[in-house]
Amino acid sequence: MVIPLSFRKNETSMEDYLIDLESERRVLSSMLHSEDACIEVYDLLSNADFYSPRHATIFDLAISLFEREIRPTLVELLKEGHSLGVFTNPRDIEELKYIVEQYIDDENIKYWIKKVKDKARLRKFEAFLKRNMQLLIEKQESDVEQVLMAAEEELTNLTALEIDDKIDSPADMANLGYSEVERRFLRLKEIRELHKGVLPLDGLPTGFDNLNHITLGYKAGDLIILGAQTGHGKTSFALHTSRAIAVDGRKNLLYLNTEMSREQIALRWGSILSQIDHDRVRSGDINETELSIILNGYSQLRESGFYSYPCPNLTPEKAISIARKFKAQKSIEMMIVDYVGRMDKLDPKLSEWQILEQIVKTLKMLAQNLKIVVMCLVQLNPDGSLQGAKRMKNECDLMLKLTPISREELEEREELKNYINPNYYIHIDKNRDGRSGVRIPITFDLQKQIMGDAKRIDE
Amino acid sequence: MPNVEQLVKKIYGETASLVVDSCLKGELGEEQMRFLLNLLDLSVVSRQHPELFLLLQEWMDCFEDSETDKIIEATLLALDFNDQEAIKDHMKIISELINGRKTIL
Repeated sequence: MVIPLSFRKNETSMEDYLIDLESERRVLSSMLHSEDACIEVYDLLSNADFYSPRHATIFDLAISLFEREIRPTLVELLKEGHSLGVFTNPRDIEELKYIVEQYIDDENIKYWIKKVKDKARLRKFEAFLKRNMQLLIEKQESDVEQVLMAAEEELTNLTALEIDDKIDSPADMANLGYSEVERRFLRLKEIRELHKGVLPLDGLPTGFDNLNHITLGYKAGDLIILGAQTGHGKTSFALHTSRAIAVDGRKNLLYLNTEMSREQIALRWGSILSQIDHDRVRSGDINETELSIILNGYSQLRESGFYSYPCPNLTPEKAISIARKFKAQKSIEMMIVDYVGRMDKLDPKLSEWQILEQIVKTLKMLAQNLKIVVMCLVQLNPDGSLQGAKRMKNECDLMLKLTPISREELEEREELKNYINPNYYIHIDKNRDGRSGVRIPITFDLQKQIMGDAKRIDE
Repeated sequence: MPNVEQLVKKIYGETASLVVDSCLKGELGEEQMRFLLNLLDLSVVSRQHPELFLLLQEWMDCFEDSETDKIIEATLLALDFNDQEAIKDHMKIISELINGRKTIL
């Protein structure tokens, strides 16, 4: 069988329809001029989206520099390409120079990315048509139903689904289910034999043994909401979590703070890591021994995976952009947003709860897409309730509330008398993976900014 | 008419490709190419150490391909552009070499 004439006579225009070198150049050029563009491109394109092999190579070089935190300028690209032997003739340099001149405004980057992506999808469609045409020519005896079903599945993947999306077949689901059960069976066996009954975590440590036990750790893709009233330990909780994950666990974590300065955050670490009263650290009212203890504390911070980004004008879009950058460059496993009430409104017409709902939805999506844990801190009303709580609860995987234990409760609740100085509860309001409605008594030393499980008297 | 920013970008692109082209043609060594490219990024992208350019100008004004000039060139080529302190130290050395020669002359 011959390719229909109607296809062949329009070959030039078909090529125009399938290839858009200008958009490819614009995207590459923007990567060489702006870090924001790099973040967008990193997330949305791959080298397979470029028609020109030379463009795909330039894309790979730029991404490789970006991942190593080297701004991919023309000069850096030339140096990298030269040392890897990629640019060996003046035509390569000419092409690169031409690309650099195709600069665009940052705000247009999504438009050009979409154009590159669309052309790549069209080329896949063309390959699909060619392949199926070939199939018709070569295997005329094939089962029609089977041929059409296979073609339909492939076409669906090109239209409705993103490349990374995947539909689980019954066999996939059965395999996944069995491997999950097997993993849990082996883990429990290991707990019994090796860990003497102590559960190993599925995710990142929470910093509290009892919370670890109930949640098995914070898991990638989870959105965790922590609510507390003003002045009742939101930031302390965030830094306590950071200590468990980034200082003790040496995992990379990004901390976005909307209301504290760099100095304030740094000083808080001083007392957390030295266990010296925060007021004394802040005022400098310490002796030389304590100064050396503090110095020792900061050396732990230096070796940790704690990345801080004070950001008074944080918007959901900015949070996404920063998270993507740190995921690409630092492989962060968790992001903490302290706190969402202080994020800037994009639409002043929306009410407070609508804004919070939008932010929480965005953060949940971010956690899933980047496969990281996102914890966001929210402010509780004076009565302990949370504005838009129901909607927030729907979106999150784990909802925790940090509330003080009143003096009356301490006197009345017999159970609390089994603990040494419990003064706060972590209330598990929602837990998608386990028990909820549980209150864990903890000790919060406001002066030293330290939290921990309340010790039982018999321990 | 292109605005200043676009013009700078154009000159930046032209200069970078000229430097690499010269290296590919064998007119510049690998080390010299890297130095010139780093210098270009320093002036256009990071816009740091403007005093280095004044120093280079000063050197060019009295350049006579002498032994001192060769030492200055070697010092420049050994410059680590990622180490801010090293840049300052090297500039000090170069400045002393230039002044030393001026005194002799």
